[in-house]
Amino acid sequence: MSSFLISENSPLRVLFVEDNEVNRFYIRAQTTGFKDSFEFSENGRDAVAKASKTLYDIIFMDINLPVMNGYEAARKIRTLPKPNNNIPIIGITNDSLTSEDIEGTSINDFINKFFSPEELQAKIKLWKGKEAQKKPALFTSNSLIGQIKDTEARTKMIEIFLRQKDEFIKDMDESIAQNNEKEIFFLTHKMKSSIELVGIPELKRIIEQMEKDGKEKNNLNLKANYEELKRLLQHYF
Amino acid sequence: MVNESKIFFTLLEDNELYAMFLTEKLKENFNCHVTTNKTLKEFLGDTTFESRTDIFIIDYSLPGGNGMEAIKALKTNKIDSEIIVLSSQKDIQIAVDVLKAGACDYIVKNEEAIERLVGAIYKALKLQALQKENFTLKIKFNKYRIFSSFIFFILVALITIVMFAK
Repeated sequence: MSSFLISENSPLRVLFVEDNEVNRFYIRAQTTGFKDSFEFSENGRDAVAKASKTLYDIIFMDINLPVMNGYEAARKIRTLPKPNNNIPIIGITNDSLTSEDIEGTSINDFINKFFSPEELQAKIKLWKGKEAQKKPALFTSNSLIGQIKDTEARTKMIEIFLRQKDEFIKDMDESIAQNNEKEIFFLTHKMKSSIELVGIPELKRIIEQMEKDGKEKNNLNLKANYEELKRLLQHYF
Repeated sequence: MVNESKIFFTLLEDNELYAMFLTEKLKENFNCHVTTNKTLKEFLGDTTFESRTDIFIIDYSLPGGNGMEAIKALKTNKIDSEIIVLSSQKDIQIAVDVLKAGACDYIVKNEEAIERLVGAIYKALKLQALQKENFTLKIKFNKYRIFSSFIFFILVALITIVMFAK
Protein backbone atom coordinates (compact mmCIF):
# COMPACT_ATOMS: atom_id res chain seq x y z
CA MET A 1 0.00 0.00 0.00
CA SER A 2 1.49 3.31 -1.03
CA SER A 3 1.34 5.93 1.68
CA PHE A 4 0.16 9.48 1.14
CA LEU A 5 -0.56 12.68 3.01
CA ILE A 6 -4.04 13.37 4.37
CA SER A 7 -3.91 16.90 3.13
CA GLU A 8 -1.88 17.22 -0.09
CA ASN A 9 0.24 20.22 0.89
CA SER A 10 2.06 19.34 4.10
CA PRO A 11 2.16 16.57 6.68
CA LEU A 12 -0.25 17.01 9.55
CA ARG A 13 0.47 16.49 13.24
CA VAL A 14 -2.17 14.37 14.85
CA LEU A 15 -2.37 13.40 18.51
CA PHE A 16 -4.30 10.35 19.70
CA VAL A 17 -5.11 10.17 23.39
CA GLU A 18 -5.94 6.57 24.20
CA ASP A 19 -5.11 4.57 27.32
CA ASN A 20 -6.03 1.17 25.96
CA GLU A 21 -3.08 -0.59 24.33
CA VAL A 22 -5.23 -2.69 22.02
CA ASN A 23 -6.99 0.42 20.75
CA ARG A 24 -3.66 2.14 20.22
CA PHE A 25 -2.56 -0.87 18.19
CA TYR A 26 -5.74 -0.62 16.11
CA ILE A 27 -5.17 3.10 15.51
CA ARG A 28 -1.59 2.47 14.43
CA ALA A 29 -2.81 -0.15 11.98
CA GLN A 30 -5.41 2.20 10.53
CA THR A 31 -2.94 5.03 10.08
CA THR A 32 -0.04 3.20 8.41
CA GLY A 33 -1.28 4.37 5.02
CA PHE A 34 -0.69 8.01 5.86
CA LYS A 35 2.65 9.80 5.83
CA ASP A 36 1.49 12.36 8.39
CA SER A 37 2.87 12.45 11.90
CA PHE A 38 0.86 10.54 14.50
CA GLU A 39 1.64 10.79 18.18
CA PHE A 40 0.13 9.02 21.16
CA SER A 41 -0.66 9.97 24.69
CA GLU A 42 -2.02 7.65 27.36
CA ASN A 43 -3.83 10.01 29.71
CA GLY A 44 -5.51 13.39 29.81
CA ARG A 45 -2.87 15.23 31.76
CA ASP A 46 -0.11 14.12 29.40
CA ALA A 47 -2.27 15.14 26.43
CA VAL A 48 -2.67 18.67 27.84
CA ALA A 49 1.10 18.89 28.39
CA LYS A 50 1.78 17.73 24.82
CA ALA A 51 -0.82 20.11 23.35
CA SER A 52 0.76 23.01 25.20
CA LYS A 53 4.12 22.32 23.58
CA THR A 54 3.06 21.23 20.10
CA LEU A 55 0.55 22.88 17.81
CA TYR A 56 -1.30 19.79 16.57
CA ASP A 57 -3.65 20.04 13.64
CA ILE A 58 -6.14 17.82 15.40
CA ILE A 59 -6.49 15.73 18.57
CA PHE A 60 -8.45 12.51 18.87
CA MET A 61 -9.34 11.84 22.48
CA ASP A 62 -10.85 8.92 24.31
CA ILE A 63 -13.34 10.06 26.96
CA ASN A 64 -12.68 7.61 29.80
CA LEU A 65 -9.03 8.26 30.45
CA PRO A 66 -7.00 7.71 33.58
CA VAL A 67 -5.61 10.65 35.62
CA MET A 68 -7.74 13.21 33.79
CA ASN A 69 -10.77 12.34 31.67
CA GLY A 70 -11.31 13.46 28.09
CA TYR A 71 -13.76 16.27 28.86
CA GLU A 72 -11.50 17.78 31.46
CA ALA A 73 -8.41 17.48 29.29
CA ALA A 74 -10.26 19.11 26.38
CA ARG A 75 -11.36 21.94 28.65
CA LYS A 76 -7.79 22.45 29.85
CA ILE A 77 -6.58 22.57 26.25
CA ARG A 78 -9.11 25.34 25.58
CA THR A 79 -7.44 27.44 28.24
CA LEU A 80 -3.95 27.15 26.71
CA PRO A 81 -2.41 30.27 25.15
CA LYS A 82 -3.35 30.94 21.53
CA PRO A 83 -3.26 29.28 19.05
CA ASN A 84 -3.00 25.92 20.89
CA ASN A 85 -6.40 26.53 22.52
CA ASN A 86 -7.99 26.25 19.10
CA ILE A 87 -6.96 22.69 18.18
CA PRO A 88 -10.01 20.67 17.09
CA ILE A 89 -10.68 17.87 19.58
CA ILE A 90 -12.55 14.79 18.43
CA GLY A 91 -13.90 12.32 20.97
CA ILE A 92 -13.22 8.65 20.38
CA THR A 93 -16.31 6.63 21.27
CA ASN A 94 -17.85 3.21 21.14
CA ASP A 95 -21.07 4.63 19.67
CA SER A 96 -22.48 5.61 23.04
CA LEU A 97 -21.71 9.31 22.62
CA THR A 98 -24.35 11.58 21.10
CA SER A 99 -24.16 15.20 20.02
CA GLU A 100 -26.09 16.10 23.15
CA ASP A 101 -23.33 14.64 25.31
CA ILE A 102 -20.71 16.91 23.84
CA GLU A 103 -22.89 19.98 23.87
CA GLY A 104 -21.46 22.50 26.29
CA THR A 105 -18.16 20.63 26.49
CA SER A 106 -14.87 21.46 24.75
CA ILE A 107 -15.07 18.42 22.47
CA ASN A 108 -15.98 19.39 18.93
CA ASP A 109 -17.08 16.14 17.35
CA PHE A 110 -16.71 12.40 17.76
CA ILE A 111 -15.58 9.37 15.81
CA ASN A 112 -16.26 5.68 16.31
CA LYS A 113 -13.46 3.75 18.00
CA PHE A 114 -13.28 1.38 15.04
CA PHE A 115 -12.86 3.98 12.34
CA SER A 116 -11.59 3.19 8.85
CA PRO A 117 -8.70 5.15 7.33
CA GLU A 118 -11.24 6.86 5.05
CA GLU A 119 -13.40 7.91 8.01
CA LEU A 120 -10.36 9.25 9.79
CA GLN A 121 -9.29 11.20 6.74
CA ALA A 122 -12.79 12.64 6.28
CA LYS A 123 -12.94 13.74 9.92
CA ILE A 124 -9.55 15.40 9.72
CA LYS A 125 -10.41 17.20 6.49
CA LEU A 126 -13.66 18.35 8.04
CA TRP A 127 -11.99 19.90 11.06
CA LYS A 128 -8.52 20.96 9.90
CA GLY A 129 -8.06 24.70 10.34
CA LYS A 130 -11.60 25.17 11.62
CA GLU A 131 -12.58 27.37 14.53
CA ALA A 132 -12.61 24.84 17.37
CA GLN A 133 -12.86 27.20 20.31
CA LYS A 134 -16.58 26.92 20.61
CA LYS A 135 -19.03 28.86 22.61
CA PRO A 136 -22.11 26.74 23.15
CA ALA A 137 -25.46 27.95 21.93
CA LEU A 138 -26.71 29.61 25.07
CA PHE A 139 -30.25 29.74 26.37
CA THR A 140 -31.53 27.16 23.90
CA SER A 141 -34.73 25.24 24.60
CA ASN A 142 -32.59 22.87 26.67
CA SER A 143 -32.31 25.55 29.32
CA LEU A 144 -35.13 26.58 31.62
CA ILE A 145 -34.72 30.21 30.57
CA GLY A 146 -34.94 29.14 26.95
CA GLN A 147 -38.31 27.55 27.69
CA ILE A 148 -39.90 30.82 28.78
CA LYS A 149 -42.50 31.66 26.16
CA ASP A 150 -42.58 35.44 26.58
CA THR A 151 -39.69 36.71 24.43
CA GLU A 152 -39.39 40.01 26.25
CA ALA A 153 -39.19 38.30 29.63
CA ARG A 154 -36.63 35.87 28.26
CA THR A 155 -34.38 38.68 27.04
CA LYS A 156 -34.71 40.44 30.38
CA MET A 157 -33.76 37.23 32.20
CA ILE A 158 -30.63 36.84 30.11
CA GLU A 159 -29.67 40.41 30.98
CA ILE A 160 -30.25 39.71 34.66
CA PHE A 161 -28.11 36.60 34.50
CA LEU A 162 -25.21 38.45 32.90
CA ARG A 163 -25.39 41.09 35.62
CA GLN A 164 -25.68 38.43 38.35
CA LYS A 165 -22.61 36.69 36.98
CA ASP A 166 -20.51 39.86 37.32
CA GLU A 167 -21.85 40.55 40.81
CA PHE A 168 -21.23 36.95 41.84
CA ILE A 169 -17.59 37.07 40.74
CA LYS A 170 -17.02 40.40 42.46
CA ASP A 171 -18.68 39.33 45.73
CA MET A 172 -17.08 35.89 45.72
CA ASP A 173 -13.59 37.30 45.15
CA GLU A 174 -14.15 39.58 48.12
CA SER A 175 -15.61 36.89 50.38
CA ILE A 176 -12.84 34.45 49.53
CA ALA A 177 -10.20 37.09 50.25
CA GLN A 178 -11.84 37.72 53.64
CA ASN A 179 -12.45 34.01 54.20
CA ASN A 180 -16.10 34.80 54.96
CA GLU A 181 -17.51 31.26 54.96
CA LYS A 182 -21.08 32.31 55.65
CA GLU A 183 -21.14 34.71 52.74
CA ILE A 184 -19.42 32.21 50.43
CA PHE A 185 -22.09 29.65 51.34
CA PHE A 186 -24.88 32.14 50.70
CA LEU A 187 -23.48 33.39 47.37
CA THR A 188 -22.93 29.82 46.17
CA HIS A 189 -26.54 28.92 46.89
CA LYS A 190 -27.90 31.99 45.21
CA MET A 191 -25.80 31.40 42.10
CA LYS A 192 -26.71 27.72 42.08
CA SER A 193 -30.37 28.45 41.46
CA SER A 194 -29.46 30.84 38.64
CA ILE A 195 -27.12 28.32 37.06
CA GLU A 196 -29.94 25.79 37.25
CA LEU A 197 -31.84 28.01 34.81
CA VAL A 198 -29.00 28.42 32.33
CA GLY A 199 -28.73 24.74 31.45
CA ILE A 200 -24.96 24.25 31.04
CA PRO A 201 -24.20 20.90 32.74
CA GLU A 202 -20.54 21.78 33.24
CA LEU A 203 -21.37 24.88 35.33
CA LYS A 204 -23.94 22.97 37.31
CA ARG A 205 -21.50 20.21 38.13
CA ILE A 206 -18.90 22.65 39.42
CA ILE A 207 -21.25 24.71 41.57
CA GLU A 208 -22.65 21.53 43.10
CA GLN A 209 -19.10 20.52 43.88
CA MET A 210 -18.52 23.92 45.48
CA GLU A 211 -21.59 23.43 47.64
CA LYS A 212 -20.24 20.08 48.76
CA ASP A 213 -16.79 21.55 49.45
CA GLY A 214 -18.45 24.25 51.55
CA LYS A 215 -20.34 21.70 53.62
CA GLU A 216 -17.21 19.66 54.15
CA LYS A 217 -15.24 22.83 54.95
CA ASN A 218 -12.79 21.90 52.24
CA ASN A 219 -11.69 25.46 51.49
CA LEU A 220 -8.83 24.52 49.21
CA ASN A 221 -11.09 22.54 46.87
CA LEU A 222 -13.76 25.18 47.07
CA LYS A 223 -11.33 27.85 45.96
CA ALA A 224 -10.04 25.72 43.08
CA ASN A 225 -13.57 24.93 41.95
CA TYR A 226 -14.56 28.57 42.21
CA GLU A 227 -11.61 29.60 40.04
CA GLU A 228 -12.72 27.04 37.47
CA LEU A 229 -16.31 28.27 37.60
CA LYS A 230 -15.18 31.86 37.27
CA ARG A 231 -13.08 31.02 34.24
CA LEU A 232 -15.95 29.14 32.61
CA LEU A 233 -18.47 31.89 33.33
CA GLN A 234 -16.14 34.39 31.71
CA HIS A 235 -15.57 32.00 28.84
CA TYR A 236 -19.23 31.36 28.11
CA PHE A 237 -20.74 34.76 28.78
CA MET B 1 -61.72 25.90 39.29
CA VAL B 2 -58.45 27.55 38.33
CA ASN B 3 -59.87 29.63 35.52
CA GLU B 4 -62.78 30.98 37.49
CA SER B 5 -60.88 33.67 39.34
CA LYS B 6 -57.37 35.02 39.61
CA ILE B 7 -55.05 33.34 42.05
CA PHE B 8 -52.93 35.69 44.11
CA PHE B 9 -49.36 34.52 44.67
CA THR B 10 -46.84 36.23 46.90
CA LEU B 11 -43.22 35.32 46.32
CA LEU B 12 -40.40 35.77 48.76
CA GLU B 13 -37.29 35.28 46.63
CA ASP B 14 -34.07 37.28 46.80
CA ASN B 15 -32.69 35.95 43.52
CA GLU B 16 -34.10 38.37 40.95
CA LEU B 17 -33.58 35.93 38.10
CA TYR B 18 -35.32 33.05 39.83
CA ALA B 19 -38.16 35.34 40.94
CA MET B 20 -38.72 36.39 37.35
CA PHE B 21 -38.52 32.80 36.16
CA LEU B 22 -41.12 31.74 38.74
CA THR B 23 -43.38 34.66 37.85
CA GLU B 24 -43.29 33.77 34.16
CA LYS B 25 -43.91 30.10 34.83
CA LEU B 26 -46.80 30.85 37.18
CA LYS B 27 -48.33 33.11 34.54
CA GLU B 28 -47.92 30.38 31.92
CA ASN B 29 -49.71 27.89 34.14
CA PHE B 30 -52.33 29.89 36.02
CA ASN B 31 -54.59 32.88 35.67
CA CYS B 32 -52.83 34.75 38.41
CA HIS B 33 -51.37 37.84 39.94
CA VAL B 34 -47.84 37.62 41.35
CA THR B 35 -46.31 39.93 43.94
CA THR B 36 -42.60 39.58 44.67
CA ASN B 37 -40.75 40.47 47.84
CA LYS B 38 -36.98 40.35 47.70
CA THR B 39 -36.13 40.54 51.36
CA LEU B 40 -37.53 39.20 54.59
CA LYS B 41 -37.92 42.76 55.82
CA GLU B 42 -39.90 43.78 52.76
CA PHE B 43 -42.01 40.65 53.12
CA LEU B 44 -42.75 41.11 56.80
CA GLY B 45 -43.51 44.79 56.25
CA ASP B 46 -45.96 44.11 53.42
CA THR B 47 -49.37 44.30 55.02
CA THR B 48 -51.38 44.25 51.83
CA PHE B 49 -50.79 40.58 51.07
CA GLU B 50 -52.59 39.36 54.13
CA SER B 51 -56.09 39.63 52.81
CA ARG B 52 -55.30 38.74 49.22
CA THR B 53 -52.64 36.07 48.94
CA ASP B 54 -53.91 32.60 48.20
CA ILE B 55 -50.50 30.94 48.12
CA PHE B 56 -47.12 32.01 49.43
CA ILE B 57 -44.01 30.74 47.65
CA ILE B 58 -41.00 31.22 49.87
CA ASP B 59 -37.33 30.68 49.14
CA TYR B 60 -35.58 29.08 52.08
CA SER B 61 -32.19 30.79 51.97
CA LEU B 62 -32.51 34.54 52.23
CA PRO B 63 -30.04 37.28 53.03
CA GLY B 64 -29.87 37.78 56.77
CA GLY B 65 -32.28 34.99 57.62
CA ASN B 66 -34.26 32.14 56.20
CA GLY B 67 -37.70 31.17 55.04
CA MET B 68 -38.56 29.70 58.43
CA GLU B 69 -38.89 33.21 59.87
CA ALA B 70 -41.37 34.10 57.16
CA ILE B 71 -43.46 30.98 57.88
CA LYS B 72 -43.45 31.73 61.61
CA ALA B 73 -44.49 35.33 60.98
CA LEU B 74 -47.38 34.19 58.80
CA LYS B 75 -48.51 31.64 61.37
CA THR B 76 -48.23 34.15 64.25
CA ASN B 77 -50.43 36.52 62.29
CA LYS B 78 -52.94 33.69 61.82
CA ILE B 79 -52.68 33.82 58.04
CA ASP B 80 -53.90 30.46 56.83
CA SER B 81 -53.04 30.76 53.13
CA GLU B 82 -50.98 27.81 51.94
CA ILE B 83 -47.18 28.10 52.01
CA ILE B 84 -44.82 26.35 49.60
CA VAL B 85 -41.09 26.46 50.33
CA LEU B 86 -38.45 26.38 47.60
CA SER B 87 -34.82 25.69 48.27
CA SER B 88 -31.61 25.14 46.36
CA GLN B 89 -30.57 22.80 49.16
CA LYS B 90 -31.55 19.18 49.13
CA ASP B 91 -31.71 18.99 52.89
CA ILE B 92 -34.16 16.62 54.56
CA GLN B 93 -33.89 18.33 57.93
CA ILE B 94 -34.93 21.67 56.42
CA ALA B 95 -37.80 19.96 54.63
CA VAL B 96 -39.02 18.37 57.86
CA ASP B 97 -38.66 21.64 59.76
CA VAL B 98 -40.61 23.75 57.29
CA LEU B 99 -43.37 21.17 56.96
CA LYS B 100 -43.67 20.99 60.75
CA ALA B 101 -43.84 24.77 60.85
CA GLY B 102 -46.86 24.64 58.59
CA ALA B 103 -45.67 24.76 54.98
CA CYS B 104 -47.63 22.45 52.71
CA ASP B 105 -44.72 21.49 50.47
CA TYR B 106 -40.93 21.68 50.11
CA ILE B 107 -39.51 21.81 46.60
CA VAL B 108 -35.86 21.63 45.54
CA LYS B 109 -34.86 24.06 42.81
CA ASN B 110 -33.83 21.65 40.07
CA GLU B 111 -35.04 20.87 36.56
CA GLU B 112 -38.29 19.41 37.84
CA ALA B 113 -38.99 22.27 40.26
CA ILE B 114 -41.70 23.92 38.15
CA GLU B 115 -43.51 20.67 37.45
CA ARG B 116 -43.53 19.92 41.17
CA LEU B 117 -44.50 23.47 42.07
CA VAL B 118 -47.48 23.43 39.72
CA GLY B 119 -48.56 20.13 41.26
CA ALA B 120 -48.16 21.52 44.75
CA ILE B 121 -50.21 24.59 43.83
CA TYR B 122 -53.07 22.47 42.51
CA LYS B 123 -52.95 20.44 45.71
CA ALA B 124 -52.96 23.61 47.81
CA LEU B 125 -55.87 25.10 45.85
CA LYS B 126 -57.85 21.91 46.27
CA LEU B 127 -57.15 21.95 49.99
CA GLN B 128 -58.23 25.57 50.19
CA ALA B 129 -61.42 24.84 48.28
CA LEU B 130 -62.17 21.96 50.66
CA GLN B 131 -61.51 24.16 53.66
CA LYS B 132 -63.82 26.83 52.28
CA GLU B 133 -66.50 24.25 51.63
CA ASN B 134 -66.05 22.87 55.09
CA PHE B 135 -66.37 26.38 56.50
CA THR B 136 -69.60 27.18 54.61
CA LEU B 137 -71.05 23.82 55.56
CA LYS B 138 -70.29 24.50 59.19
CA ILE B 139 -72.04 27.88 59.01
CA LYS B 140 -75.01 26.28 57.28
CA PHE B 141 -75.06 23.56 59.89
CA ASN B 142 -74.95 26.10 62.72
CA LYS B 143 -77.75 28.12 61.16
CA TYR B 144 -79.81 24.97 60.86
CA ARG B 145 -79.09 24.05 64.47
CA ILE B 146 -80.14 27.46 65.74
CA PHE B 147 -83.25 27.31 63.62
CA SER B 148 -84.14 23.82 64.73
CA SER B 149 -83.65 24.62 68.42
CA PHE B 150 -85.85 27.64 67.90
CA ILE B 151 -88.60 25.48 66.35
CA PHE B 152 -88.19 22.97 69.15
CA PHE B 153 -88.54 25.73 71.76
CA ILE B 154 -91.72 27.07 70.13
CA LEU B 155 -93.13 23.57 69.93
CA VAL B 156 -92.47 22.98 73.62
CA ALA B 157 -94.01 26.37 74.45
CA LEU B 158 -97.09 25.58 72.38
CA ILE B 159 -97.56 22.18 73.99
CA THR B 160 -97.19 23.75 77.43
CA ILE B 161 -99.74 26.43 76.59
CA VAL B 162 -102.17 23.84 75.23
CA MET B 163 -101.70 21.67 78.33
CA PHE B 164 -102.35 24.62 80.64
CA ALA B 165 -105.34 25.72 78.61
CA LYS B 166 -106.85 22.32 79.15
